[in-house]
Amino acid sequence: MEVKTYLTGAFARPERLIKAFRDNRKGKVTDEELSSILSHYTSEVIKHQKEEQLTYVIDGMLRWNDLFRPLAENMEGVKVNGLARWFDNNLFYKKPVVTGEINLSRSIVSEYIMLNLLSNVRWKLILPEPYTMASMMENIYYRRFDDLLFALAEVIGEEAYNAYVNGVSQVQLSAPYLVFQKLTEDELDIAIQAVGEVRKRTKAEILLHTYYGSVGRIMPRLLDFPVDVVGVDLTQTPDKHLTEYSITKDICLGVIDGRNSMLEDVNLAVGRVMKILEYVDVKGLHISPSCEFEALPYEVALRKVKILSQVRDGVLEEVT
Amino acid sequence: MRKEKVLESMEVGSLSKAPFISKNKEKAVRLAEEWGRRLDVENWEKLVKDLKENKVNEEQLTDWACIYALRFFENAGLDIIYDGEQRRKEMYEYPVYFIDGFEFKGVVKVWDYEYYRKAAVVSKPRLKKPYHVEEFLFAKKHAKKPLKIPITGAYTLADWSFDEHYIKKREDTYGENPRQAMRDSKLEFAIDLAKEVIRPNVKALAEAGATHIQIDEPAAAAKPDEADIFVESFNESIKGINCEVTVHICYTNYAWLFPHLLEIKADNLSISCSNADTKELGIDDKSRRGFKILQVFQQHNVPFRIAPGVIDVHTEYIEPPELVRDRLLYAVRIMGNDPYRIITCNDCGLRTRSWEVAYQKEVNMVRGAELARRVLT
Repeated sequence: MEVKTYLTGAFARPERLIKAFRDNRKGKVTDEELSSILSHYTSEVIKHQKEEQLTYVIDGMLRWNDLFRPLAENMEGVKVNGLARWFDNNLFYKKPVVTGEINLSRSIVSEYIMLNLLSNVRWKLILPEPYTMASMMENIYYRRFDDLLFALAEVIGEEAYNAYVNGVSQVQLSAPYLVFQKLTEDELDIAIQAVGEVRKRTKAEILLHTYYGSVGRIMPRLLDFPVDVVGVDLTQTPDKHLTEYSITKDICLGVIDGRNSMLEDVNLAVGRVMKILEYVDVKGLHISPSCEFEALPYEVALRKVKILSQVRDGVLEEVT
Repeated sequence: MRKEKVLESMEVGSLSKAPFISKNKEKAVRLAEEWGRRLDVENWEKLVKDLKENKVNEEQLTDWACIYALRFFENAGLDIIYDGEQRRKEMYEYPVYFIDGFEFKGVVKVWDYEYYRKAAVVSKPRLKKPYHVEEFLFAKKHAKKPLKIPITGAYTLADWSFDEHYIKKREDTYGENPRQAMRDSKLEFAIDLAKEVIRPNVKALAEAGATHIQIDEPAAAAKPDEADIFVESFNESIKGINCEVTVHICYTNYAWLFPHLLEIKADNLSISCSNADTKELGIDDKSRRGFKILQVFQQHNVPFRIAPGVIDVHTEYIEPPELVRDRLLYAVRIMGNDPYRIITCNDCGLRTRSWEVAYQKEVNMVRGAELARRVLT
């Protein structure tokens, strides 16, 4: 049995890089110097994932100020506005404001992903799931939410395609909104259709990753999304919410807490995964952090990558 | 409910560092003199002389900054003042240094390139020593008006920390309901902070002569299902304390705090309104959209006074007194036409504004309150 492992969001920035970003804004560090420091730490984050034999590797997304920013800054019809809280975290994002018809003006795959450093690995791209992003934008242009949602889904699909032609192995659609809010059946229906627009444009594996909330009652609906893998935040979801359903897709268990510095006890984490497997016949098993490592200190994030690989090894030992 | 003065005015907390705190000596001297004269700071000539002769050490400079900040608010005409938090760098890291049971883990992101040094609780927190008493005693010695001392609240300290202690106790049953395990851990953590850290601090301040404390809880409404934890930890923090207590919560969805907020044992609640308001004059709902949240407070007939922010601290715009007046009159109208239920203050601390802008804003806030009083009486 293969157990896939990978990260599910932006990595923490090291202090030297944060300082370089700040100094660059003040004119004390040139763009070239910043770029060099950024490459150095991107390489370090990639190297660490490779050493721990993660199935797919991300470049760390160290330039991304929030999940929406690269897209928001490279779309026509969108302006980036003031700060808004990122779900229930002490973390804020800049709210994109839709002021006109949206179109992708420049691909973020070429602009924001350090493809040159990902040449010898199976890499993954992380994008916002359309319903999540559309719900967290301020729309002053489109008459109906659905119009915005599907226009956005096309843009996200376009990026998924750009990644596909650049050899991406997995496209993750980050979907915290689907489980943080209580969506109605109709809302879930259009969220599913919008992801269909992305599905159409790429043959790469798609992970729909839900976090900051329990999959709870909507687990069966998550399995209706046209994706290959459904990701679950195990820091929010009780085991029984997974064991009550027949899982017809690959499942990604977010067992490493991306919001707390406590290093997981590997045996406990392996035990939890095995307990779920005892009751659920999964098609394919993936293991990941619950969410991004963006709000952890850099050193803690590095250690959590190691723990992730240890949990995978522990699970493999148990199942083989 | 205390009935001191109709629409009495108070500051919320921080000011940017005093303008004479500068590596540029010429600038420091010039601004020490300019603000010394303007604020009528006694003996400012000594500071100017010492700055010129390089005879001021860092500690003395901070003392001067506190005196200038006290005069800043006094001269602007506020009724309740403090020292603009001139001794403090921020509101999380500083208190954590005075608490056993925490370990700093590194810097974490708040947004873009804004980060803070975040600690994890690793054992039950214990206060090493009260951390605001000396600051308060200095302010008390020099202030000419009543003081209100801000202190970061238990819930916010808990919410802004990692948990490596309380959650560990629940590791064995965590998978059954992780969210419940985290909630239970958070409640225990926040209550321990309230009893072991915040209450001893507040008690020490009261014993030193403080009559008004402000508990800052910016995290209070970040997690809609934890409003009860915030309220319970707040009440534990001030149990047995004989002081007026204000709680300050800003930039959030206040509706999330109900109904638990009705149980809070605070005298006053300070909130932000103006950053969501218009600059139009008028006391209609449309012009005063930032203050409409007060309707929720009135519907619940809250048992405390409200201090709706009538000054937006995140803009350079100087609110004219007439706009302040209308914001206050609208607030009074919504809160049952009882002007004693409304306090005049800013949305939040003025740390992000220059002293020049902050001063003009505060002067106009006081003038606006006076205009509103004339209408009401």
